Amino acid sequence: MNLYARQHGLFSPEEWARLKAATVLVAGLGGLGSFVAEGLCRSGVGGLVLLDDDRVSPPDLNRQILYTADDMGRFKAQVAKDRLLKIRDDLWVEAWVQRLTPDFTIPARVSLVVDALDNWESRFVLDDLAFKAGKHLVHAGLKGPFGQVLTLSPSSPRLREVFAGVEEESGPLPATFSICAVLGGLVVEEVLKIVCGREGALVDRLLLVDLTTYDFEIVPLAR
Amino acid sequence: MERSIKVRLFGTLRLKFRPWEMEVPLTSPMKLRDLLDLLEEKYPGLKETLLSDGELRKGVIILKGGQNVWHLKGLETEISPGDTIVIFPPGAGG
Repeated sequence: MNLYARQHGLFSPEEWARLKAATVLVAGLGGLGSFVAEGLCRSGVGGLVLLDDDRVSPPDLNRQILYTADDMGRFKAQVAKDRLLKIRDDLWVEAWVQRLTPDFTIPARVSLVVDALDNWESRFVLDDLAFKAGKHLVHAGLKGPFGQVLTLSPSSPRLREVFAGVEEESGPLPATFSICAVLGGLVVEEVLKIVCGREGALVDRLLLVDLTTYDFEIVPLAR
Repeated sequence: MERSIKVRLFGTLRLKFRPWEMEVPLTSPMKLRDLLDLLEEKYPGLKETLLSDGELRKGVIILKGGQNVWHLKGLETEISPGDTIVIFPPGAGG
């Protein structure tokens, strides 16, 4: 029995080959990025580039599943890499402890970009970079029990157009384990769909999630 | 022939306003600004949440037919019978 025995039959040989050949850039390793990185690792993605310049602190532990009390003060990207390699020693993974800036270059081997950042300015920079590199961007964001997931292809309207008029909020936003788990799981599923070329992905479709009522609503975006 | 529009509220707006979905009778086009006046009667306080000094307040997104009204004509955007208006403050947190 191998690690993927319970996924047997859920991926065609072609899809599995695509998954093993894919490298995903996960920008932001907080509540969302934790679930996304671990989910992609356990699902069998070939490689991960983990980007975050923050260190682990106590308020992270209510939802950021990659970290424990033993990791306080360590860089999240490094802790994440160490943990994921304990799950899968065949994972190709790089930990980049750095802030996202407009002069950042997305490596050519990256197949797809995940936006799990925590502020609009960085999110828009990441989307610019993904567009320039011709990569899909899977975006997720949350506030309290609410959140959204959206995928932009290189021919989609850009994130700063879709979310024109947003403003940065001061201080840390409320975030629970549940909303991070739900949105993180959705992002993992979305990445698998896109990498495998499956139908039903959220390209140009904004998924709005409400955990107070369990409402999931898809709003198609105009091109 | 369509004789109404759909208005849907999402995100933290749902903590302040109900119902979250409403069908508003509309037989001829009107400006978004006028629609917000109409909605204020049904959602007291909504205008203050969405407007500041009579202009769209930052932080809340209004989509008409899947397009952000900031890229249309803002408050002067024409709303026609059959349109769906989605209003929500997107989550920036990660």
